[in-house]
Amino acid sequence: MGAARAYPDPDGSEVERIRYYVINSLLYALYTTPTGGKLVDNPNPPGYPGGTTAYQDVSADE
Amino acid sequence: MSEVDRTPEQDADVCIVGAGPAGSLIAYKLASWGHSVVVLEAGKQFEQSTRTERMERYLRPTHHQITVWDMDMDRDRYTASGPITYPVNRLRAKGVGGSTLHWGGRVARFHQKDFEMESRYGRGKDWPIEYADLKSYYAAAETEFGVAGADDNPFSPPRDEEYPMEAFPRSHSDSIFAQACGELDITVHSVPNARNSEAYDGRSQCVGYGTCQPVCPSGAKYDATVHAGKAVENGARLIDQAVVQRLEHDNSGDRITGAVYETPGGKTHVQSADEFVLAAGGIENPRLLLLSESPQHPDGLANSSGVVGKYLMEHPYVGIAGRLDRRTAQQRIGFGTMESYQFYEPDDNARNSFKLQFNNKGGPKPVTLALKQREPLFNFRNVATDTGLSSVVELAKDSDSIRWGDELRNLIADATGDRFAILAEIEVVPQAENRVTLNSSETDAFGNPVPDVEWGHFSESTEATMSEAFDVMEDIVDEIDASVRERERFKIRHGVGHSSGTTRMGTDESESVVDRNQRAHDLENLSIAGASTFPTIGASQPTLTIAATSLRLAEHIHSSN
Repeated sequence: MGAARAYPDPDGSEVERIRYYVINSLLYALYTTPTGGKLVDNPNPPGYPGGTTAYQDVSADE
Repeated sequence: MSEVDRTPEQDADVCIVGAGPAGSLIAYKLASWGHSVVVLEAGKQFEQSTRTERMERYLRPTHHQITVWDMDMDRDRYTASGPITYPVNRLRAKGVGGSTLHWGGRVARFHQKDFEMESRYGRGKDWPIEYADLKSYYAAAETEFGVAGADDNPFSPPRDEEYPMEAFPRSHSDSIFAQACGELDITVHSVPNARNSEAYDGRSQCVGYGTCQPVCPSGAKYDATVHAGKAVENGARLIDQAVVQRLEHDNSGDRITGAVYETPGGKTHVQSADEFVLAAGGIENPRLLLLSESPQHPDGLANSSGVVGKYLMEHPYVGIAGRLDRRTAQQRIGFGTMESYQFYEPDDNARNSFKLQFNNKGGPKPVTLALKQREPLFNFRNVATDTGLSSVVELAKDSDSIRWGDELRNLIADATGDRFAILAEIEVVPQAENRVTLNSSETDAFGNPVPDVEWGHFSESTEATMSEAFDVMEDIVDEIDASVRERERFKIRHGVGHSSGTTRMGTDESESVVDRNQRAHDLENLSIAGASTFPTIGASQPTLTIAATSLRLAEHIHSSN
């Protein structure tokens, strides 16, 4: 229905709102948590309160 | 629901304009000493519970960054002129807490030389006070804020007390830079941070959201809502959404009698008081004085010198960003943990101060890439929106087909993990051409002339400072124990939100606006707080000095009333 190409706009057309509220909300939930972060070698991505150790050393998860 | 009472406080001893760090600290101290205090804040009192939502607004690229703290472009309209456009509303936050709502939280003290630039280097202006006058107030400010630091900086000015909390440890990428700096005999050290490395003053330790700038959901980063709250607990009255339009004076023109302010719905009120303190920042402090012109003060209040609004200062930054062939672990914390003051005190007057900062936020965030889906034009849409380039905004929209699953994961993984960034904070020489004036051709939501900010007139020594900082940073990058896959220089010539100098303090009434106690030369009961009173600002973030001078000012107001 075009949401995969739509610009994410919370006040936009139906597909733009779907991109914003559904697709991007799911992606937000994934990549602001360690679940998504660890897929890209970041155990504490911005938006997640994962403490103050992950930034100090990469050896544990290398 | 009952309507919020925004009518004036009766029988106020002190009226403070602005609830940022300066105004909030002064309100807290004076209220705790028994004075009747009212604070008028143009912005809103934001609920702590909204911070997670504000963080999401920041992290989702659809939203313009100025929406994080509800910047009102009608209330806060401005114009920019001069060689470099000064983006006022991207560099400040308005509301209870002021710009500490979105600040980074670095809190070094100014060095002795910062108070003596004219004597030592023949440029700028000496302060009418010196480091020794502020030393005890610096310590008090560190206690009020809660500063995590270590006594490992051999270049720092003398201090007698330990920091309230232990410093945050170095980051993984710091260790890469520390090794390179060691090869070059460049000394690196910790960063004094106004954020909790342990629970402090009823606030939690940092939990690592990584979004300190512009919002700390946990409250571990200090912001001035802390002291605005303490002021209220001690009896001060805080009125938010009270936009001060002008200050009024008596027939003699010697005393301020009232602050005229407008509240939602267009109601106009006048707050009277015995003492008035302007604490509205480096742009609004001079603007309010200029807006308050009268027959007795035809060039604006407190402006017999003609320097109100002049000598605007900021901190431009220059930096190098790039990629290595090893992991750098960026974007796992939101603040810096290592810096170097080695280049802070030049041997001669060819250049100004600069300070090196090693970044922990190099490159894009995973969530930004996931939602934005492409790296080019990263912030372009926001910039274009801010400047009204609507046709270009359309071009910059991310309307390509989005990626899913492994394809998206690979895109993010390829674009992150190996980034680095090193920056240098640059001292500028105060110059009269950099200034805040009134632009009568445009008005704000209240019909007042908007501030025009003229910025970008840099001295030869300022340009030389940027050049030398680049040379030092290039040498460091050359020494990194890794192959440098990419490197790119960048400049942030408009600065980062440290507007200063526009109501400078001094002893000569013909060259300054306030005296050594931050009392206006021209008025008996008007004080000015904050960085607008600073004659120079070195290459250090100004907020700890804002706090120290404000604590000193509060004592002065207390002792003289």
